[in-house]
Amino acid sequence: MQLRDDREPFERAGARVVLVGIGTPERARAFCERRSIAFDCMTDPSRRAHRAYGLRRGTAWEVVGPGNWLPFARDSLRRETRQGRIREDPMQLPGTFVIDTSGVVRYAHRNRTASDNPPNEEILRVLAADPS
Amino acid sequence: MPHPEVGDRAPDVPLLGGEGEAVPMSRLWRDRPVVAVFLRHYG
Repeated sequence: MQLRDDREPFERAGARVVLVGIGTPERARAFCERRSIAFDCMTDPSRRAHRAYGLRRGTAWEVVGPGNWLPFARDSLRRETRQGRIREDPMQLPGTFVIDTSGVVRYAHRNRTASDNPPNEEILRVLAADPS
Repeated sequence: MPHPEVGDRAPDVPLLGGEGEAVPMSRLWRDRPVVAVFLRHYG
């Protein structure tokens, strides 16, 4: 998922966007305040949730390999998307899931590299098709 | 490692909120569909 400027379409779709990091609650709060992120910022320090959703640690190729260079360079140009010092596990691979109100997974994306986040449109399409 | 896919029941595990309180994920999806974005880090 791409996080910037995107609260509105998700609200219109009736969804709650929850970010799940792996640092402390204080770090999550500071990160979300600094970047003015309007979504719920939760954390999973034990990584129990990351494991439960099948999110694994990546290899060096997946995390810092050539596929990540362009997105990394692009994000580095903007202060609000520039990566800070990583104090948690830099090898954790991200993922995005849509879960409906009956607790069923409607969309599952596990990043193959650190930067292949799904486009918001893909997630919004799932929400539009399944307005539970 | 579990690997929930589309159509499977989502694992209901607790997360920590901004004040360090435990929040079961099921509470998040009770009233609205949830987009859960798992990040590598907060940084």
